[in-house]
Amino acid sequence: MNKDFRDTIIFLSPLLLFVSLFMLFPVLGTFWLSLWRDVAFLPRKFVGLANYLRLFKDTQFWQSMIFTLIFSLISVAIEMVLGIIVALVINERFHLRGAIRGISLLPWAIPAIIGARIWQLIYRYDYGLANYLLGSVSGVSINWLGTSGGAMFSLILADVWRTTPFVAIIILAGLQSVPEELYKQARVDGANLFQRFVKVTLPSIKPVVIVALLFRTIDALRVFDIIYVITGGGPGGATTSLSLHSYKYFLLGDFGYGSTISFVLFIIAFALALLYIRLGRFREIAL
Amino acid sequence: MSASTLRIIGLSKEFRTLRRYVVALRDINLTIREGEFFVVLGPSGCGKSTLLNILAGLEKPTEGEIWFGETLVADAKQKRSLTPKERNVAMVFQSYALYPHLNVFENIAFPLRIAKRPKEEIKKGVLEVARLLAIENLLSAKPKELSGGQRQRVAIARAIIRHPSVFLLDEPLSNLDAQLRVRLREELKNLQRSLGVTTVYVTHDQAEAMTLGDRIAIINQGILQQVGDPMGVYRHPTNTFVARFMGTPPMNLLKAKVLEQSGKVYVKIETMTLKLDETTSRSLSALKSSDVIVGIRPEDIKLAEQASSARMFAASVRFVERLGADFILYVSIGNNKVLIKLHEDPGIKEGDKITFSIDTAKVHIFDLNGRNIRK
Amino acid sequence: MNEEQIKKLLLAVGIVFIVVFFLFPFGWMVIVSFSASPDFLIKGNLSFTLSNYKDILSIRSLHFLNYLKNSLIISGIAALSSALIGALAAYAISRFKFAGKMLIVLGVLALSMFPQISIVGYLYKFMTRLRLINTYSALIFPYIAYSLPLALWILLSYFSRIPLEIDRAAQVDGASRLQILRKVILPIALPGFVSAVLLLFMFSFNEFLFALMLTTDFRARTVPVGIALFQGLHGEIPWGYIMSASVVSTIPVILIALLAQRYIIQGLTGGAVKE
Repeated sequence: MNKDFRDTIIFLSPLLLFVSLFMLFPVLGTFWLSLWRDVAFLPRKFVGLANYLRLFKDTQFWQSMIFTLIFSLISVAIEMVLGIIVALVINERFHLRGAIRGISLLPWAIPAIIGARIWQLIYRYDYGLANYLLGSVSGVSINWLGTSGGAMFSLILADVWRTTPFVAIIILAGLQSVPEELYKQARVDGANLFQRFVKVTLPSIKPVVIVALLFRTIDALRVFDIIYVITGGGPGGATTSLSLHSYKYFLLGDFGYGSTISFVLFIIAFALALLYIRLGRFREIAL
Repeated sequence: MSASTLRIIGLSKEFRTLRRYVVALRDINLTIREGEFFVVLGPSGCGKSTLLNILAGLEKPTEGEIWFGETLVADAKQKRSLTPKERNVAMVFQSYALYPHLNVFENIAFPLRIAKRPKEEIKKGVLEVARLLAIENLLSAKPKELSGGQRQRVAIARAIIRHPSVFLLDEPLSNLDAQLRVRLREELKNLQRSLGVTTVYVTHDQAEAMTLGDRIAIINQGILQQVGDPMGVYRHPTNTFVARFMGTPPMNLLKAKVLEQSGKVYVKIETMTLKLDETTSRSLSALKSSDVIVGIRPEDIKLAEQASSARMFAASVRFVERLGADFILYVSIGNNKVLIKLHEDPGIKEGDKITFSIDTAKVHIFDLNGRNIRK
Repeated sequence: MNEEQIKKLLLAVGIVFIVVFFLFPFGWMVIVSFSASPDFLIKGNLSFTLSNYKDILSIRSLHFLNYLKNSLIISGIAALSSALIGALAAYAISRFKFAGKMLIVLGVLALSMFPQISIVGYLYKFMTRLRLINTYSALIFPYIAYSLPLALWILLSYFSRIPLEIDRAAQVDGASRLQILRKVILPIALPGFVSAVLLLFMFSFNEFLFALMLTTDFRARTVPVGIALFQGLHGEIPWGYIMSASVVSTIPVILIALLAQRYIIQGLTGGAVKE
């Protein structure tokens, strides 16, 4: 028997085993569950696509879909812009750059739940920091989490705070791969700072920006942690993301319908993941 | 140190990938004698490194057998191939392939550590080979602190510490600068002689092959072209590929017509007519075609005084390359470009007319397929 | 003002922005954690106290130390296992020729983008059947699987930069594949392995949804779930406890992020960011 072939199987099998048992298999299981009526205290019954038809009448599902899309779109857009700015800053050489890079990692490095708890306290209507600062400037208080617009804004800000660092690091890698000669050439050609950014930097980091964009979009679509803590999906379901909507059915013991919602989310994420892979930045890591 | 004869029988290697199908080696037959310094020579991509990898046991042949002494180490039919360890081969790589995280001592000791030899023996062995290669003072250094030549010595030390029965070297000197290369060549040759281990050395550098090899094999596009001692191959190349590959500057190859006049055989190149000796004439007569390729080494052309004999030819010089010790003249004969190598400054400029003679005993005649007709 | 000055000004503004925007919530966390009541902004009764810290570290019914211990053990085991399994796979993928290699890499990559929610429902049923709910195993196994794509991606980018001749030399020196991985490749790629372990640790330490669904009490509950579900003894959200618990639990990750920022950035970007 071919030794390398044997080794290949031995070396790969732990990965394949774990990944199939705890990811692939559960996703297929979720699809299987979505074809059943599987509610606590009721007999299980195969219902085919009935759960999927139920989605059409579920107004909260559609509200969650719209919320999730708008939330993802806006927060990812802001994160990309801020991420590029932060990346440009930490790519420069300056005293204590290491420390600033470390600080730029912090919001992303700590548990999302802890970040969410801090923002929740900041947004508090009665004694939150946000209203205190706002009040001392203009005398107005905003019910951050009590209105659907305010809650949306609050969640986006918290998400931007938490994930801009991640975007910045990915884009930093792109910035570092821009050859120094390109900037020198542009300088020799008389391009000013702004022109160099638009004509040299932006086109050079475009592929990395697209990768970060897709990766973040997929990540934003499955948002759960910060919403669970900051708004709990409220007010009145206005900020219930698809993940949270699905979770609420799991909590009620309705695994059939909960799985249906989460499987729809999976399809959306998977489609984006395929697009992401097609763009194929990963083929570059030498194989 | 045990040494063994290497026999390669009907060896072929094909690579199949999704898109491509490549024949790296085709039906190679070779016997490498016990204790011999054998050089495999060829241009890059000719399959010589694949041959070495197959000998090492790093790759498997698609067809054929390999014997180390009386042991069958690889047999494509039985899908059998011993590992490098089982074959007891040692190998030196072009990039040296030193372990960057280990110091020199540990690099050399690595094969013995893997073989779980006792500590005392490892220490003794490492010191011994380090002395042999004059790198005792480097034992605690990391590879990145060493020069290219030092790295290569460490790689050789690591290779010989296990007392291999076969020693394989894959272009070990090609990353070094020219001076160092010449010095290490000599050291390597001496080392091999004193160890007496069967050695296969792969290179694309014909000068290296000439100076190092007891015998050399020339491979092109996966096919074995010729085997023999260096001077034999140089003097009697079996085909135009070998003829041009051996020797710098390469042999001049000129298209010619065969003429027969009153029992005598001539070849005519443009306006030049060369009379050939008896044996060459006989081989030429056996050849049915009247078109041949004439090979003349640049050093077999001599400048001569004007019109001293009928065997003189005239031409004009297009360019003179002055290399210090040697002088190369680029000369046009009709549409052919011909190189002449001289050891003394002829005092000739571009555009000058010269006359020269050709040593017809050293002329090679090839058929249109490039095969030497005297074979 | 010339261009050089404009650039310096913009850079200074950027640094100030990063420090203020990224750090002020942390500052707020620390302030609240040391204050007797969280409503000092309107009541004006800011007073320094250590009682929040004392309480979460000593009141056993709050279970904070249980959560912390669970988190450290679960994340530690998951990170190490995932890095080792990832190293084996990355070795095979970067070294061996075999059909379907690309499919495995891309497949694993696609898995990393699966929403947790589409896995956790079935996982809950699965773990219930195995009677593993509320045990370390219920989290360790899924965490290993869920972090494997990251482990593979980091290690693969490090391993594929090591020339194949090194492996060949080691093979000729008599080493088996496992020996090559252990004694040659892993030591050479040590910075990559360290980055991987740190990132994988953070990844599991920060995970919330699996822990929320698959644990029920202090015996297996992790820090994020503990902090999300913290109930005071009297109903009102115990901000002092939450913030002091947050400070204590973020210390390990903040230390990792600040001291090993180089490794983390290199790990995330496949070594593309030097220094």
